[in-house]
Amino acid sequence: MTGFSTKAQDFLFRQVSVAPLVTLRIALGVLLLYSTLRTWQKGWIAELYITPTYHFGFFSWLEPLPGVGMYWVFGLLALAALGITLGLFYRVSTALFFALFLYVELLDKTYYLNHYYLVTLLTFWLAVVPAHRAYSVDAWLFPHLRSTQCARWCILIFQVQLSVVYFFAGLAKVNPDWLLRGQPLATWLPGKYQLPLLGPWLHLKEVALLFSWLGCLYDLTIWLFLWWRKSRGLAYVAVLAFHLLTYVLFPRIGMFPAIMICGTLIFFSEGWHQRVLSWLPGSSFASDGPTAKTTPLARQKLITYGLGLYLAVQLCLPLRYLAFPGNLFWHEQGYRFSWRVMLMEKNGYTSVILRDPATHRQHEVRQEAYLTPFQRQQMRSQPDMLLQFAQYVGDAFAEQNGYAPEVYVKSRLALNGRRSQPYTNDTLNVYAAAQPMKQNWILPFIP
Amino acid sequence: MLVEQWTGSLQTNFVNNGGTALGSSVSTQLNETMVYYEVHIRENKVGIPIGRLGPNDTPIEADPTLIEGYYQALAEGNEDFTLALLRASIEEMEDLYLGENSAGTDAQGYDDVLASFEQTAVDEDVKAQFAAIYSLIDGRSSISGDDTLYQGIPALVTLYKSDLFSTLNVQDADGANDGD
Repeated sequence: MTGFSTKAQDFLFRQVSVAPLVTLRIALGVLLLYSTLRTWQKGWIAELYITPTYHFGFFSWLEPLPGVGMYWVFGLLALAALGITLGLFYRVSTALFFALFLYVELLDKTYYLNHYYLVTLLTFWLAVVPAHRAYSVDAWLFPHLRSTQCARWCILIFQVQLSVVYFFAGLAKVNPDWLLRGQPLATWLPGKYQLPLLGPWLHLKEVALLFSWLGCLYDLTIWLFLWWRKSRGLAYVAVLAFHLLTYVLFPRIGMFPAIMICGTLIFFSEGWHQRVLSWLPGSSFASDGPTAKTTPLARQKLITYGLGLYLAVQLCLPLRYLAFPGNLFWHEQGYRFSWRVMLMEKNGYTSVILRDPATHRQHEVRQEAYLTPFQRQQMRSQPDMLLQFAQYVGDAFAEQNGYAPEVYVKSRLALNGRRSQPYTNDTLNVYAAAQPMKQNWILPFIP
Repeated sequence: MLVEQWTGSLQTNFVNNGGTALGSSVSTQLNETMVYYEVHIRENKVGIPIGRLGPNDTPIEADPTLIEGYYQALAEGNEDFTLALLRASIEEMEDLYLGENSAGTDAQGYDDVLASFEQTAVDEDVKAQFAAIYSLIDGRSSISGDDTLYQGIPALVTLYKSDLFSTLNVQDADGANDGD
């Protein structure tokens, strides 16, 4: 074993207090439970997964469960979230939540959200780390689980993950639209004129620019100030202010502010977390149980390499867009899973045209017969979804008629407050094209 | 009666339901205008008589008896009245855009909003598009025949949805979901 990896292992497996993990477990557990029940209560389960006849799955074989199946999925998610909060059957609860949440997330690209992706990653790591060693029903039921400590990497992984989120969210804002034109905030803010205090100022371009710059600086640097002990308190005040403001301005951002406000608690010291937890009933940190649970050496090595690989993937995914020529905001290849939050306002009008090569009759596909308004809206600006839909309506025609139709997409979009411009090459038959994205199907963006 | 309602509580409600989010007055008005235009004008007045599409993408046969004001057209031996109705329905839509009342007095409309956003080019395009559609209608003697009218109508939808909606930050759909 090399000196470096020994040192890395010493660092990663040093025993530290498990308290920060316990707080995170409880805080996230409560949020996930609330979020699941909220989805149920708002009727979204039916609206998003049962009513639509077609889904833009990340995998074609992945489909929502029939009948009331999706209600079972969300019921289990709620139970699992409760299990996480209480630390009850913790390993099963976390693994179940992770698996089911991932399944739901992959069902339809329409509903892709960066913070759902974040929840998937956070619950994966919750399933791996021992956040049930204290203040949990498991620790109460099974004394051999009790411990006041855990390996340092179990805390670090959450801190690093959140830093990655902030840093890449900030880096994504370093672009001319955001910094020089104040877009898309300059498009979004004027409509909020009825907000108290801020409202009367929001139509000003200067305000949009100011918010843009502050948001960019915040994302790029806040994680550094959270790491640094001396600035942590103030940084957390900034976290609260920033996320609450985004919630006031954009209520549709939903659970995201709450997740970041709870998640960043992980940066606080052991002592802080122990004090917070001491308000709860149950075992205290001075109490029983073996203090250290050392990890076998072979497993340490595995975990070290695993963490290294995970970090590498996390750093590469947001940069994969560099492999595609053209403007990322326009073609959106490599856009998802990259912490690009609220960067674009892309509006327009898209028709999908089906042509019968035998009769030469052509018609515009009635998208509303297949898709919900939300799906149509999301499909319009995301080429991979357009292609999925073209394939779907083409297949339906082919099945009915016994021969393949021609499918064309005619689209105009406006990006970040510009005038609209043609989006797709409407003479390319995307049903027959092998690789439309490589055949200049998406027209070049004219700034 | 409409005017009475408007000068009563309706006007206050309309103004108080501000912003541009889905469900706001502006968003509802513009989105309903699009439905009116795409469904009631394009499909019902033109698409159905010339045999475009039925529900669920099933082609239907052309049936000129399904034009608006069929019996008047039958009595007069021409479709002038039908075409006039079509034109009038689109003029109503333009009045809303311009903020003009039935007497032709110009008040605040979306054209003025666009001007305040310094997007006069969009305004000019919208006005030009209305003019183009009128000349399409004026150049015909019948709804039926070729489908240039049917094909020409949507250009205004494209302009509304990709330029007017973008400038005003009006969405044509809102997910029953969070955004980020």
